[in-house]
Amino acid sequence: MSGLLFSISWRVARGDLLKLRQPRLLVGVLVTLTIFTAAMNYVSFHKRSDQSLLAGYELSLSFFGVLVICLCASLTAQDFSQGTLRNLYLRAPHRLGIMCGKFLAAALFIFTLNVYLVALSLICAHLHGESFANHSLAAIAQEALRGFLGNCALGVIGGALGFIFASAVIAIGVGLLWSLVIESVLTASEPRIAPWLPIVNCINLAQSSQKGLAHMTLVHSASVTAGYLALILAIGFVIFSRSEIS
Amino acid sequence: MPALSIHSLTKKYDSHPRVVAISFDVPRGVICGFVGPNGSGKTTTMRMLLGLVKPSSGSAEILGCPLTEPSSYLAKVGAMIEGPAFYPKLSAHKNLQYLQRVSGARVDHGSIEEALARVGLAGRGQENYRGFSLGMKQRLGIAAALMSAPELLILDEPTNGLDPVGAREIRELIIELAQQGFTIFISSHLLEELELMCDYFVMIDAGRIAFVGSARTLRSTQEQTLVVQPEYDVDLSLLVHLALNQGYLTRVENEYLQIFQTRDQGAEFNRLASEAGITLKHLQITTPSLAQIFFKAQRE
Repeated sequence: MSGLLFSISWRVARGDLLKLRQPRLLVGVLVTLTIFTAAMNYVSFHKRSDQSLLAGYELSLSFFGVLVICLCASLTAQDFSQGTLRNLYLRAPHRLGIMCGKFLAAALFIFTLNVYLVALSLICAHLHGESFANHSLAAIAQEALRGFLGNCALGVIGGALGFIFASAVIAIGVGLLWSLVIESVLTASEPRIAPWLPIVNCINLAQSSQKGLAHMTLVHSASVTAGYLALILAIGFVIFSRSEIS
Repeated sequence: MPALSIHSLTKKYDSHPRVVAISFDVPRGVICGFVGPNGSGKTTTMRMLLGLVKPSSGSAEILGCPLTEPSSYLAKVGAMIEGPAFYPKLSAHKNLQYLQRVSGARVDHGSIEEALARVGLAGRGQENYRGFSLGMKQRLGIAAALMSAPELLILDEPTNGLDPVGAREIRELIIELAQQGFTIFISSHLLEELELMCDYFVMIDAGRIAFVGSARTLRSTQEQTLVVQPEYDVDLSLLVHLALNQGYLTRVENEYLQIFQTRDQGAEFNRLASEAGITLKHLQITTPSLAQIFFKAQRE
């Protein structure tokens, strides 16, 4: 059973990577991230001096996270709106496998973009004359890994919203509304609940130097994020497994 | 073992029945026309057979495998349902490559080009799907259905949007596939088109089966109309008397006499006319077309 699940997930992931690799999408995402990350690096190195090599990278993670929510929501929801889900199901008739495959493809795509962002930030730091001698490779790797995990969590939230709403526009809209507006309002109006909000914890998981949330440990953020991911994935799977494929 | 064996399959939406306890078999190696007006339950039935929709009750076997286990038979089924659906920003070739990857097959660019050529899209593989005409999209949908070399093809309105030449090409392709041993279950509202290629029919109306059987059986159950014309117009009334004396229903239209509800009685009527000293200038036996049979069944 698990062999079949893995096989179907891998097949779906390979298929979706073909979609994600399409030049217009890939170039568009890379150009946007490059401009934003370069700008963040410029701002970061001109405002502060005592910081890590990946300060610009960390600053750009919030933007990257928003982009990841939109990308993953559209990756899953577009199959419903374009009718391509039935093509997919006829060749991979395993709903959990389809879900896992899409998340696997998203994770691989996020990993690639994350590596690109880290490399870009290191290049920016080098161009700014930062010395690499004062920074350990392990610390850089740890920051990059946290960035990847945090954004994977955001990607899962985006992808699950796609399965729940079966419409890219609604899924992206809900994702952006929640992450950019609702959580900001809730955090501002009731700071005590901030440590229990999903996006705040995903960002905290991603950014080791996030300020103002020192009371949120990595373990706390990882646990809260895992809880939210389990919940939203369960809702997404129940809805997807019961829905008709049109 | 039939290709499709359906037993009391029912689908209800909010207690409204869309398909009501339909039962029928489709033998292997036939082109089976699935006929019915819009909203009669054709697409719902096809979607149930493909595991896209769960039936409310009933059962079915597809290529000998139970309907409840789509993974056991879908690899042997090619389908195009509710029109073609592909990624608009990918080329035709990339879309088929995507499907090959998802189905677990090794990506074979040669077989993709072959599939495209088979449906008349040779040389168009690198064009984006978004720019395709409706006819080209239909062809790509059929190419995708053929890609996995299926035993059973389920096609929902495959000639929709095709021009007459394109429709004929697809018809010829379907006949060629049937000759190679494929079983084809095809729905269309173009009854004349189905009549040209199908050797088996399932008629559905308002979610209920109206007829199941071979094209020959379907026609043999239909009454023929005998159309005769005497050499001299003055003999027409005499012919009417002859027919009425034999108990036939008749109608005179222009200088022709139509005799209804006959069955291979042309020779007999010709002899009667001859014995009465009437020479027939025209004698024709007409069999109702599929469309006429269908509309008649609907009225009943």
